[in-house]
Amino acid sequence: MLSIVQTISLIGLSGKLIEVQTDINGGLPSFEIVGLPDTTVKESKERIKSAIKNSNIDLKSKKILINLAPANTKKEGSNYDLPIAIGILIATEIIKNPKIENTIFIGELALNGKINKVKGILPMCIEAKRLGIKTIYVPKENEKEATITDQIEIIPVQTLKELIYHLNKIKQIPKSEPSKQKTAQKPQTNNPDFSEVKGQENVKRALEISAAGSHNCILTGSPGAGKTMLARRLPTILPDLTFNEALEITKIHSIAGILETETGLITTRPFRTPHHSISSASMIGGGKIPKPGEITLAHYGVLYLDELTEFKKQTLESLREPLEYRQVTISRVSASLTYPCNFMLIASMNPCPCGYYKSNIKKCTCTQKAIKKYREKISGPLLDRIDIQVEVKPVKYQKLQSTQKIESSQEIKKRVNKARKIQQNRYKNETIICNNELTPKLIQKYCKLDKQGKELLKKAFTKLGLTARGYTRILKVARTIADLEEKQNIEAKHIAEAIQYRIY
Amino acid sequence: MEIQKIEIQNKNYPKNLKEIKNPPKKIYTIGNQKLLLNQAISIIGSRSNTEYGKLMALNFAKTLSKKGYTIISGLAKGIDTYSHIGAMLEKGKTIAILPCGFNQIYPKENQQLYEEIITKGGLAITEYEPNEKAESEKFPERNRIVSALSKGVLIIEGAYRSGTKITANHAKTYGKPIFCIPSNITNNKGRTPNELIKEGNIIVTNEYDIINKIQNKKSTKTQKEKIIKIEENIEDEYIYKIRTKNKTNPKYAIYKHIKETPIYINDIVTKSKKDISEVNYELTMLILEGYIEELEGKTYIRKK
Repeated sequence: MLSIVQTISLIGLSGKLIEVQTDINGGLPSFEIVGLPDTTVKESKERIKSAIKNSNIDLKSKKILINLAPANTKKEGSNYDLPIAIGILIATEIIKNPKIENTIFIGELALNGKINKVKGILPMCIEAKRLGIKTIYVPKENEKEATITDQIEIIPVQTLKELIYHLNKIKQIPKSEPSKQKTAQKPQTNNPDFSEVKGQENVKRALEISAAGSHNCILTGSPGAGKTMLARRLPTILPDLTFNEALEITKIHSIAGILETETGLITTRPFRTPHHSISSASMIGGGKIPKPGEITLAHYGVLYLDELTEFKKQTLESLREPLEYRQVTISRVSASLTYPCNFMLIASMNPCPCGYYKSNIKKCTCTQKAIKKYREKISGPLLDRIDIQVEVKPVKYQKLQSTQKIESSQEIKKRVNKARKIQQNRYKNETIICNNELTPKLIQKYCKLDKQGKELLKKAFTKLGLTARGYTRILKVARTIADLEEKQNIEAKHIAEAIQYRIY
Repeated sequence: MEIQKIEIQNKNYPKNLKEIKNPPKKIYTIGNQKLLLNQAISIIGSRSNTEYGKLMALNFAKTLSKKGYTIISGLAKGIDTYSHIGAMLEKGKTIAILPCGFNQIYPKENQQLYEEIITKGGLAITEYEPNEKAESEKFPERNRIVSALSKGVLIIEGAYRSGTKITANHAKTYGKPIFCIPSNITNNKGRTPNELIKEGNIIVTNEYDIINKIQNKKSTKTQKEKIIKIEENIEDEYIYKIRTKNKTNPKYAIYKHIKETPIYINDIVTKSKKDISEVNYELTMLILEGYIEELEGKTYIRKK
């Protein structure tokens, strides 16, 4: 007998409905899966056989043929286990007359019949909804993630047996309540806080501006100055996620399979800190069917590159286009996929190979040539995409001892949130979200200067030798500073402050 | 205030000026003429001074004013400027001898200082017509008046061949005592005073060295041992105010912390107790207006 069950496959972030066609006939016993399955899918045979057997169902020896249609797209992953098993059970009439129109099954089987969680549930559910599916059977462990999608019936399944009873209308599995989590709120955590950092006012301010406008920022300073310590506190002042942002991040993390069972919707901006030995494929994304890389995982969050100069040159250069276009297209033999990567780059580096150039702690032992070579590792085009540069110096002992009250991350975050809201309102009719993304055309539209501001900029141009590129960067940063102060127009003082954070 | 002309025949013409070989036929004055009756000490030195020279000028002018002496100097940049300011800090009266007419103040930066001197009860003197401009040969001519009018000349800093040296030579020919503040021998600006000390002029380590010589007193042991107390943080708000046209410039709150040794931005924040955003803004403005300079590593120094 023939049965047809639906499931979904993801290519990048977009979904495609897959028909699992099962044909069971007499003849020499065999079990074949066709339709470009990868190894995981092929191996599902063994899992399915055991799972069915261990659910106390006797499967007669028959000739089983499974076709995954459309047959020309590659199928990978363990989420086909459940639909194939259901297909077999329907074809063998163990499940009778089930209602499976506009329904898909997703899940991996364990040998004992338990249904294990799979990657990418959230994007699958969202895509299924778009493709007109009404009911989705998901592993119980993925329930939280799946219920973020609204207006669709989610049925969480723990075991194969339970599902058979359900489909045979013997014992119903209660469907999931839609998640109430519609706004992205950050839970209270014991994160490090900026109130623990004494001194370093200029760095804190630079990070505040960066966070507010999503500006790329580079921290330079000698070893032990506190670059990493400061950068690690950045997540505590990042603006709250909007629901759409949260959804998109969750989708990506779901595909990458790094979503924790308990999380559901991701509510904090990602903070990715790849080690400097990373390959460009893991940075950008790659694989036979390309998987998201670090830059995509840092979407709407922060990509923190500690010791920037130690990264491979090729890896760093590959960041250029993603930083510009905020999305990356990865082409491989089997697929060409586009992933979003609207991230904020925070980098830190030493001023020279020994680390103590112009430091007052130790004498620098580097030759001028060595310093030049060291700095050349960061190419001009990459530096061009960084808006803010800030120098970090070790805090003096007296300051460490001071008992002066320091602003907490919470207070800084309040300002950042306000500034980000202003930007969202201003750009609601544009394709951009924040000041960092301003194009020259939009700068003309949104970064209007008063007379004093223009004069100041003109003066700075001749006196400080600014370049045209430096000009736009200063305007963008000044726009953010004005937003932090909740000012409509950019004033001279905002520009003057932005000039202090320019790149040399 | 009115410009007054004093001819050499006039009884108001300063006596000690008449005594020199080539006294000016007439002098123009503006301000408080009574100051000419007071005992005066000239303070002179390099136009491009060091921080040490500046502190010495401010401190000695201040303490000598306190003791009742009038400070005479040439209204030039550097040591001259600080000498006038030091005197005014103690509400002392000071006399500026100009190498130019009153309508052509040189250097232009000191226009403000010049006005300050005459409105605060000081005096300005020149032998030139009001519209005459300063020219290089007028500087040594001016210097002869500086040394002639005083009881003694205090030399703070000066390079090997300098106007300071010329004034010292004038003083020598007029038989005025020359007081020298010793400098570090590696300090190029310290060569003139150090050379003069070597030639047998008076080395000065505190104000009594000067006062006792002028009053022909023997210095007591305690006075000899007294080490001059230097005010490191002498109010240079005054200097700043005189230099900038806007007298209530808020930038001073930041500017005063930036000295000749580089200071890191966060130390400015701590010292001024201002917000980092405000400090950032003010620093840019100070740079663009040419008061300070940014060095590598977010440190700042005062521009000379």
